[in-house]
Amino acid sequence: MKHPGLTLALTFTYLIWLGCLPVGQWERLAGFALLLWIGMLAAARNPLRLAARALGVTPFSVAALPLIFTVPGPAWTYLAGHPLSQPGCERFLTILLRAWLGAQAAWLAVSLLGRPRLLLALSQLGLPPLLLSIVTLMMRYLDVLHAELIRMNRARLARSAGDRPPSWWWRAVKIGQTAGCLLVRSLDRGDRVYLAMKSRGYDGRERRLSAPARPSAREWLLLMLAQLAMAMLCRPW
Amino acid sequence: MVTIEELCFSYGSREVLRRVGFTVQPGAKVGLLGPNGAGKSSLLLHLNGILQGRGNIVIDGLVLNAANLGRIRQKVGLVFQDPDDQLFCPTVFEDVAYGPLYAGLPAVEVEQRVERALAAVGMQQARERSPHQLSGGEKRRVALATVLSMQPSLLALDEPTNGLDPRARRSLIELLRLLPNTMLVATHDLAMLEELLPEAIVMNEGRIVYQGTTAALLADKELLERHGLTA
Amino acid sequence: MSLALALHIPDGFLAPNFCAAGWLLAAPALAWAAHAGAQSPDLERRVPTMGMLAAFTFVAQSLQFPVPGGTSAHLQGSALVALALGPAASLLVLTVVIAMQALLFGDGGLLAMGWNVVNMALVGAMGACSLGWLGQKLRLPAFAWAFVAAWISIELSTLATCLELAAAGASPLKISLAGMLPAQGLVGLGEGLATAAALGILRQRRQCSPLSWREAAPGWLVIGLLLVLLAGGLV
Repeated sequence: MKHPGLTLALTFTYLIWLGCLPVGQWERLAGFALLLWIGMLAAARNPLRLAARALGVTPFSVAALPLIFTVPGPAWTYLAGHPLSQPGCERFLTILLRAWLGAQAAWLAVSLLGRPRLLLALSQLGLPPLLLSIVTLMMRYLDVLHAELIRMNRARLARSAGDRPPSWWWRAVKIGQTAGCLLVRSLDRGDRVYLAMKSRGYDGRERRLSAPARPSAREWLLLMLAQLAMAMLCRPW
Repeated sequence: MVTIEELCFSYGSREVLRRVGFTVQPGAKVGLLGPNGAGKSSLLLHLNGILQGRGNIVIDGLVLNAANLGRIRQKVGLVFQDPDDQLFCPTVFEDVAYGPLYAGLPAVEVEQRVERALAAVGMQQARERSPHQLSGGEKRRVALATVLSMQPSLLALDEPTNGLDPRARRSLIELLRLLPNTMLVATHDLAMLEELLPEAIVMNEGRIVYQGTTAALLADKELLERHGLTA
Repeated sequence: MSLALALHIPDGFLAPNFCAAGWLLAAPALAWAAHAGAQSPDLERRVPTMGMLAAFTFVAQSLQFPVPGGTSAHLQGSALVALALGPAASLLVLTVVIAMQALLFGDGGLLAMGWNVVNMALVGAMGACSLGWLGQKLRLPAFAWAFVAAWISIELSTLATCLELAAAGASPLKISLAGMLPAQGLVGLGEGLATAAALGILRQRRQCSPLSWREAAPGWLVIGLLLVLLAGGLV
């Protein structure tokens, strides 16, 4: 899969099919994992490394933890006297695994495409030009602003006495001031970038060189076969 | 090449340029000096009509006005001080292609222009790289290529050697020396001035206070001292 | 900890058809924002600003502030961007940020993104604009209205999340409200202080125009709708 747009389309459809998978269907979930890992091997990416990295996103799914108490159903086991409902636990585990697989799929796409071609892929999938411009500039300046934040934090640390931790509200205000300084610098940089764009003929319209090679028949076939496989696995009907 | 007459400009109530006037001959390489806040950057921003004050500006036979703005922006290659402002695209290729693309050139021509501009600054190998993977000196070179691809008749550079290490600075000066374009270079770097730019203009508080040869300027210690050009 | 993160709904939490409903709500709002952007005379001027603020929001969200009670939370930034840019532009900026977080970091799902846009951008950012406008009308000091706007906007986002979870049958309204509103209220204190301090710096260094009724009106509509739904859900 070389074509940027189709690669991203395949990733999105994987996520959608994965989202449609009913709760507690462990074999089918394993099927989805297998599909993804075969894809990784075919693309010469190490599944173990991506899978380990994706463990980092599971804390976000902790938000689903209350489900194990709140979903009505027979108790599966007891935790400190509180019943853990069985359907709740199944749902929580499904959410956790889906988030894990989903993150792996997203990262596979990002690692296959790289940032510049990710933008190309988004434009091939028909993202409106205004949003595309915002995404493009955002991707370009993430690292620049991040480096700026690190420099500001170092300067602040170098000046702070740090003998006694200040109260929480004072620290929140300080964090806010850092954010404010960064905001001002970002807006100033936005102004300068605007001038640089204007100097080279920018007029508010998005222009691109004509899109590169169209996807080959083989790539279309691959996309369709993957859809078929995932539909078979999912069978929401 | 450039003729400026009686140019005045103010930000709100603060006068930034006061009756500025000078001429730059075709092919000349001119240094623009002065302490911080003297009005150097504002002057450069007037050359392609980003800022518009009162007075007359003629670039390469074209009077700067609303009707000529697009053509003048193609003629004046303005390179900003911070290359991270100049390079706003995801890849080096797209950045260098930006000017020709927005000038409405056909794709084949854009491609050729990018090739030539990158070759001129010796950065062909960086085509598909993203600007944040480049070193400070490489960023300056690519920033230069982004305007060379527009084939400008005038290069207006704002502090091109600022923040470069000695080796990167040296190779950038060599590169600028080889370029045939007319140049107006705002700088604090007296060593570069002496090597690269035979003519000089000194500004202070929005006025032009010296215009002549670099050799005569550097010999006049009292003038350099008075306008804060030496410490 | 878990409750503080609950504003990014992950995939798998909500049924796919319920996720589609979120997109149906978010899409017209985005279309309105894009249209408002395209109509504004200084569109070309605003595009670089919006791109830069999207990057800013992303980076600023790595800033952690302490929450009374011992945990910490990251700056969310919806209210800050909204009060700095106005509702239409901040809706686009925050949508881009939410989408990229989902795509690059798996933070919040892609299917559930419609609802995440509704909660954080539509409710959070527009609510902040309306409350900021009200504070300005009442001639509150700048620090005070910015604090209140950011704090309440966090609570409004939480409220919207709870209503969705209840509607999707994922979590009963009263339980999730009782769990999340107080917890997010504490987080919101920090967010409010940080937002007010940040805006203070912004107003010192750059010119800021006051919010207009046109910018505040859509937010009031959203807030009104939320309160009606809340009343309906509780009765």
